[in-house]
Amino acid sequence: MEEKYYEISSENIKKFVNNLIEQHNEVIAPKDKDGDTFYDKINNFDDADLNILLPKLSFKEYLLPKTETLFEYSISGSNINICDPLENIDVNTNANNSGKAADCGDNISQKRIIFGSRPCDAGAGPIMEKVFNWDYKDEFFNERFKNLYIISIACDKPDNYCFCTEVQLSPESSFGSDILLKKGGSGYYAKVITEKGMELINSNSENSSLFKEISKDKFPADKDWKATFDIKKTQSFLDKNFTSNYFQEKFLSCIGCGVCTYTCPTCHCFDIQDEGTNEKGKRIRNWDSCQFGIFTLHTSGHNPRVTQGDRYRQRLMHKFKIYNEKFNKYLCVGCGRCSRNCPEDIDLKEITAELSLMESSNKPAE
Amino acid sequence: MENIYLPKLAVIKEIIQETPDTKTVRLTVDGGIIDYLPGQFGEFSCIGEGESTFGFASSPLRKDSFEFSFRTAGRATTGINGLNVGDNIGFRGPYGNFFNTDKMKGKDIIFIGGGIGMAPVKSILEYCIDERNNYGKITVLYGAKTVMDLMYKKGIEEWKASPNTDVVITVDPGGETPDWKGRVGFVPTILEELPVKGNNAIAVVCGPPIMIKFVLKSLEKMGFNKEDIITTLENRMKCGLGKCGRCNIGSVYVCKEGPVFTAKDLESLPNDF
Repeated sequence: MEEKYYEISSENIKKFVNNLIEQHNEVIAPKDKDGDTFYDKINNFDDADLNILLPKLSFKEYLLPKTETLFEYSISGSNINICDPLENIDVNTNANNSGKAADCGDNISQKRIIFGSRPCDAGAGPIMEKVFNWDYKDEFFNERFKNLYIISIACDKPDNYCFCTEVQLSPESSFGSDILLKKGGSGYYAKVITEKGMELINSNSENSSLFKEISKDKFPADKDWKATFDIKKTQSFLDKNFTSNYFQEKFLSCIGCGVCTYTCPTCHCFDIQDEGTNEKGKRIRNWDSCQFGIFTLHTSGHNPRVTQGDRYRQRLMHKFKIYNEKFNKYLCVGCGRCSRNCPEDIDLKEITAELSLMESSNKPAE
Repeated sequence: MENIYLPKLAVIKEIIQETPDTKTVRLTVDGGIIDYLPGQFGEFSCIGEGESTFGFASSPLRKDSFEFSFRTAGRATTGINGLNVGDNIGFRGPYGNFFNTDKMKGKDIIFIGGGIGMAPVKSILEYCIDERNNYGKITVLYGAKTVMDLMYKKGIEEWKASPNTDVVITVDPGGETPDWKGRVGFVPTILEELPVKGNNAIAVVCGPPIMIKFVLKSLEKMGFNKEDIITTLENRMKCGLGKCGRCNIGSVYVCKEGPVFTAKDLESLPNDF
């Protein structure tokens, strides 16, 4: 759809969010929890903490839960019964009012509104969407994605770990958002990017009256965000230097805890396991991590990625080369969570910048 | 909505105990077979224990059933090992690419398999035997660690009975028994002693990574072009659908762009397997 622009006062944005909650929507926002901020369900606008830069974790788990039921089984004698959670979900209807719930599995059709997402987190959805629809369509992801509404607020002060601008997004990017808010005027300026965004604004007459339409030129222009290094050069280093000693030396300190992948909004690799008894149970997928040795271990004992250097190289390759070759974007939104949370202070921004610099200076690969 | 992770329930028709720790399972789905081609693979599961990836071990021209072979090693295969004829096995697939049989027509073919890596080789070998007139001389070189580890005893007899077909069986040094009548030596060593030339010929190779590495060198010495050496790779997989993120070699996902590659394809891939 054609983008629309609005102005809304601080008081009215509060009304809008509280209206959405009153309309029985599950509204998720950055919220204080034991001293840290997480995306979590709010019952009132005032529960939201909109002042912090980024919640500790992204809202990835609303698109790809840590554990998701793929099907349930029950066994009696030699009879196996399988229940498919997707069986009753109709592709053509709006899932949240499709009536019949699945007889098993998780509620993947729950409508959720993220309020106060950051543009980096919002960007992760469409980036992962490519992987889940590359040839085979993963309807678990798609159904959750379809039912997730994202209202982002642009950042004004990225910190030293942030590098969204370097990975072709920006603190004011609307990529992946349904509505993007920017502070200004009597409260916020709003850019509505998608039909889903319009649906929220028009969800009742009061809500639509809170937004005052403005022309495009009244919407504040993006600041001139400048990338501090060229990510294309990082990619081209990765293209040529698979065997470089850089990876083995740089990641000697990596303890393989996997927190970088766990906190990453775009890391989506998963494991499939059966859980239950001989009589009933389920097949589930769980978050997995390329930083674990067992991730690629063959039954024979052979492992293609033996060292932590091999494994971190895979993470860099996947994000800045492999994904880009297939989908022409990066599998990274530059949120910097991997660096902020790393117990060994491995800093992805510093690494990608270093590789870019090595490529520019034509430093020969060791 | 289609659930791409949902298995069909296949029925076990026959279980062949190949060696003390390997079995071949013969299956049907809805009373028949699924459409597959030699080289492709599937996800096979013991419901409640887990899913594992195996290549097809049978010729798709045999329409009564399809086969896979496995070694009991982890939780999923221990589960499958406990199943009996008539029981269900969860099946998803077929996935991946396949051997280009058009390219093989009219040519001599050497099939080289090591250990349980013989399974996907058996699929394409028996496919060629089923249409024997389409191919030139067939040579089979199959190696196992010990005599006890040799699989496909019934298959070996069938391959030997096929016209214009040489079958050479070898075991690793130390793996022979006093009454062993086959060859003794590693697969690459025995390969170089065979009267096989690389012109107008195709080589099909599968086995442990270390065997593949040395066999590729031997084949090049024997005059095979890299385009004419076809191998099928195994990497740990979970989804088989290009999503779970672990089977890639560089930018190539073995589950989608593989598992069948020529030696020429491998040349352009990083050493990540």
